[in-house]
Amino acid sequence: MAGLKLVRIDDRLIHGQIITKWLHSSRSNTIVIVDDELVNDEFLSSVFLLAKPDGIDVEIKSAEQAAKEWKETKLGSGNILMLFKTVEQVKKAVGFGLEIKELQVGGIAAKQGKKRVFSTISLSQEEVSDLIDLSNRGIKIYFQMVPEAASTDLDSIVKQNFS
Amino acid sequence: MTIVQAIIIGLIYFLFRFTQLGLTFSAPFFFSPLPMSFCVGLVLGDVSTAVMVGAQLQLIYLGLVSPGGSAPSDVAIAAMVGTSVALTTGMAPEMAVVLAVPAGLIGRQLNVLAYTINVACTHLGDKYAEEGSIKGVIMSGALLPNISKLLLTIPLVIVVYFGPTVAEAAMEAIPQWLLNGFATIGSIMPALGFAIMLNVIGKKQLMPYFAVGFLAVQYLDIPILPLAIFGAVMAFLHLTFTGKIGENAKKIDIDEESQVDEKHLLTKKDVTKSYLMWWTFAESTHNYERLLGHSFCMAMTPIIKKLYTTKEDISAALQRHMVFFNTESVWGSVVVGITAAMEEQRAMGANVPDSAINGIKTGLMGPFAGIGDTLSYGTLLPIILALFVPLAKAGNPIAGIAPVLIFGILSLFIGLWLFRFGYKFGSKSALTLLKSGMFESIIMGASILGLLMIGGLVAEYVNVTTPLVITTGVGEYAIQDIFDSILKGLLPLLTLGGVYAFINKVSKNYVVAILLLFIIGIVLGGLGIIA
Repeated sequence: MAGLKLVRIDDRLIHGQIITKWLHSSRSNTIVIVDDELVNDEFLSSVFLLAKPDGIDVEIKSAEQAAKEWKETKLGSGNILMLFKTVEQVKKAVGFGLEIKELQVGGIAAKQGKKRVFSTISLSQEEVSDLIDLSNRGIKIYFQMVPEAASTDLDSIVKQNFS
Repeated sequence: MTIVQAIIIGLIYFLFRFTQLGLTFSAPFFFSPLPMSFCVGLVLGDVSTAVMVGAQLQLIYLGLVSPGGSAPSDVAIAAMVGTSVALTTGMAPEMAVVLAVPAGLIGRQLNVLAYTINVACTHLGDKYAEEGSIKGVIMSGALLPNISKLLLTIPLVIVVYFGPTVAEAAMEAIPQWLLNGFATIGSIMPALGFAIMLNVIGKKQLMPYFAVGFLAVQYLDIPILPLAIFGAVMAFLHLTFTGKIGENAKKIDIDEESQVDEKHLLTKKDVTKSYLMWWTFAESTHNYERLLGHSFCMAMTPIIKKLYTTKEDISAALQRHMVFFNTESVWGSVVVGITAAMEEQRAMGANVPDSAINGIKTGLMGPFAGIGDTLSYGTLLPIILALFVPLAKAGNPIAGIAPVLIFGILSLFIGLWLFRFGYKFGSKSALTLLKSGMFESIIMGASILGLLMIGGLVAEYVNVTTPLVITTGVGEYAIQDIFDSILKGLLPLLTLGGVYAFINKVSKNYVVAILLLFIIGIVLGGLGIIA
């Protein structure tokens, strides 16, 4: 059945873990990147549209557009792997009416003011509160790098790092 | 084994795995056990047996891709333990594998520790960057992490030294039925390596090539090496017929006029220096916070040194490049080259703000990692290794070192070419390369060759048969004969299918998959259902 096979936050968007692992294990044939910035960046958009494996569709949408198309057509007939660059964009898209059941946090680079919470994932205080908000809306949030590695849920991450 | 031998083996591990110096030559040690087995053989004076053990292990780990430092198992430690035990106790390679695999899983923790040490060094690098000290940035990335990791080598030396004695005692205490079970594990496990590789390159429409490889070996007894030549021919034909190569194919559309600028502040030597810095240290500073960020900054030092003179400019440039960066380091070299070009533009007065440089770096690192991981570790390295597995199985020492040299030298020059290309044409080069369809064609061709070879290797090396016999009034029927009359190698094929379904449907967790395969092996082998 078509639909959202995997929704993931990963600031590198399409990279090795996506191409060699998640595309296959989630049985997706379409990658939808949701990012307000990227959609307006002509150069990088073309890079992402070209740097894809044979037979996989890549679409880039703004948060609003993605939510709108979700409500209208469930984003078409593909098996979708949806990628977000930031927590903020997920929040925005969900605010516009995108319905997701599960959210995988897979990669958020370390920066000043962020705390490393799980392998290559670092979160700011604001991102944590946003994730908790999303979780309160009934979205199951978990942290995982690759399919063969262990995952952790938001609760334990919050308990270990932010309480 | 003497203590000196154990220490030398530990130091070899330190050199290729902890320091990871010389990216393209150390990467094979990260992704494949065969090279480490070869080294252990050299030290213990029996390379021939060592590469046989290495070959058996290699089949299990073929196609291991570990993007973003996500390796589930340390294959070099597996090889170290398995090979040294086999060589000192005379244990069969199939048995040594049963010890080696868990050792690899546990050994993985040492790498987590090593990455933790690297974080501290990167933080020190930050300080030097702030002070504008190029030397400090290099020292904190090149010397410190590596010297401190010598300490981590000590537990390995102890394991290598005492391991064989412990293993021998354990083996004596183990009952025969369990030994049968272990042998069965040894014959099932190669299916895991093939299943993992199928996960990366096993596209549905290309699966007939797998069938051809399997049937060719099963019914025509074609050896693996000539099979690879057939595979190369078929890949060539496939690419020609699909228009990927030949007259109508897209070409690298180089518009010489689109070169970034006529004027250059950097010489060819500076650019090569920067690449060599990248090649030498790309993975040395790997950690969970910045991944390859510190290494990236180290690669930029020859550029920064040449372009900037004031303390402020140098410090700003160093800090600019200490941020998070992660890509596949061979094919991702193009991103480093592009960045060098952007820095040069900036130094010549063009309006290239920090955000532009960062945007290009972070935008391009992902896509090129996706391509690079698929090419380097999903196809090229496993194919080269698979070519040499038959020789290694026969105990030919060349098979232990040739894959490292071939992959290492080839990748060294691929990286250099991409780096220079990126520097010459700036950010446009990324689109030029992607539009040329070059990566797609190489991935397609390599996948075809790879699938054909996996087919052949499954037929050759997944040795699952059943000794069961049905007794009826008329006589005895060996079940194996019935299987053979349907399709030769039906059981190996079913085993592969089972393992493939298992890691995709039942448990994606690698550790759980291995544990369950162990249990299945012990039960089926112990009960004498398969042999």
